[in-house]
Amino acid sequence: MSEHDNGYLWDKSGPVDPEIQRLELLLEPYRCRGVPRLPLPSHVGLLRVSLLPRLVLAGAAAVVVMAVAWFVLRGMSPDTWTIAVLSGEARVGSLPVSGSARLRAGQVFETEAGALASIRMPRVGWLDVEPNTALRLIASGRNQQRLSLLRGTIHAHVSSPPRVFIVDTPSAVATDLGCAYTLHVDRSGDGTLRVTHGWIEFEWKGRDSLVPAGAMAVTRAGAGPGTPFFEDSSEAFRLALSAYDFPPDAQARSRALATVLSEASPHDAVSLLNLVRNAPDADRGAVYDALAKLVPPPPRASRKAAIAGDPSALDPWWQAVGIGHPPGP
Amino acid sequence: MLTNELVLPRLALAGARPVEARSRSMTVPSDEDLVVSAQNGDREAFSRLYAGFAPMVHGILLARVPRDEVDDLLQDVFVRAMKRLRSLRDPRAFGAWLATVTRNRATDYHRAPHGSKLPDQIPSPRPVETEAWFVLQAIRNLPEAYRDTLMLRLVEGMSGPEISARTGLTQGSVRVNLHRGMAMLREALAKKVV
Repeated sequence: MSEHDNGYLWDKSGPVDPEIQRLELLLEPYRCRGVPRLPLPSHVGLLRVSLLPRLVLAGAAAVVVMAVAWFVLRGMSPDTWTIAVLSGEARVGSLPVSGSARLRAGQVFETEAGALASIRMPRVGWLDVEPNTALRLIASGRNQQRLSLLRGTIHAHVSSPPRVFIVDTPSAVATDLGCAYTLHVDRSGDGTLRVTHGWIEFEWKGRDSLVPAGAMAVTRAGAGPGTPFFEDSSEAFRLALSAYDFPPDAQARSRALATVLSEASPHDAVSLLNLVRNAPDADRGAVYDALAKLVPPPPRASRKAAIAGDPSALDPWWQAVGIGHPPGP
Repeated sequence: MLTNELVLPRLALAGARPVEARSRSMTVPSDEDLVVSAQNGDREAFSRLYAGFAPMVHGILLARVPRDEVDDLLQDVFVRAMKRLRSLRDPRAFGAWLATVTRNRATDYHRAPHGSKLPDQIPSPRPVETEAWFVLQAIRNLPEAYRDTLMLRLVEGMSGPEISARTGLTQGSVRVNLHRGMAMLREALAKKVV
């Protein structure tokens, strides 16, 4: 090929250059995703005048909400989390932690570079906290223990009943269904989840993925969780799945789905089962058909019921895949 | 943007004026018109420029600073641009001017003291992420002209003509930068030289 005759490189016309396309898919996660809100310093005065009454009302409402939340949490006899700093420097709020400390709802715990910590959560289990991690304890009641992972990495070991322990991230909510897992969030709000035991429900704004042991899922700020997959799936499958979950445009998504379905092996049935649940209506039929070729559907998993998202149709299929099925709500 | 006939999404901005439209297709101002309006204090015009040029600024920053810093610096670039916009004499040169503001901001970032920090930390590398990081580093190590153009093409998904329209470079320059940069990138990836 001469220096200037690659139409695909120039304006995406002509035959697709497979290497360039592969690089595009590979680098797509680094693309500008939406436009963050722009501060407008030269117009602060205008905003201040027009928004002042609303800000006053919002402030008053926030005070009321905080007061109610405080009374509710107080009435739930919260459990206190106990932190043990194993190495390095860490702090609760602005106070350095030496050895052990208590963590209460609303407080932020942070580890510095090189620090490791473990947090005991009564009747739930424990968390291992890696360096450069910040988390806020949201609630530690009897029915729900919840934290917000602001950045960094935690390893959760949970023995409580399903749906008691919940972790919020900027782009997904991880609900424990009886398991152990590692969750990482970077500063941009993107994250990765690796489940080592049991199941996790990874949800954001109605888009949810069921992630079984051995699988992982990524989540992107502004988009939510992607489809779970096994890390030893083929590279072509994983790249196409990522392009399908986080597509630059509708055409790319359509192309990616074709690749996902053609590259899927029986090992990837977990991914396709999640796609049957989460894909847009127009794609579900094709996903069902591809999955049915890899893992024959049980009698109850009719095409119509499965495409409609009927759990009674999908649950037996989870069993047929050989990984059990996630605990119900 | 060179095209004048576009269907734009409504901008949910404080003070935004209703979009005048007789049909789904509407006439929208050119970038040049938007720059002039923004210079006269039209916030909606500046917000449209922001939305349109953000990918270019993002790509140029990504070629120069750690990924974690890009979003903050992107905002900072546009705030700087907004403050200095009145000094821009030729509205047609907005893209090239903004690219210069962006490169200067990246230079300032590297002059400022930072803690010890890896370029783009990846906590527990997966094969795909590791390769993406490797490719990104390879692009960052290319000469500046190739680096920016390839970043806009491969990461931001812009076509050659779009890159030309945004950056103010001629189409010929962009074409050369793309092809020579791609050749150097292929060579670097083949040798795994970062």
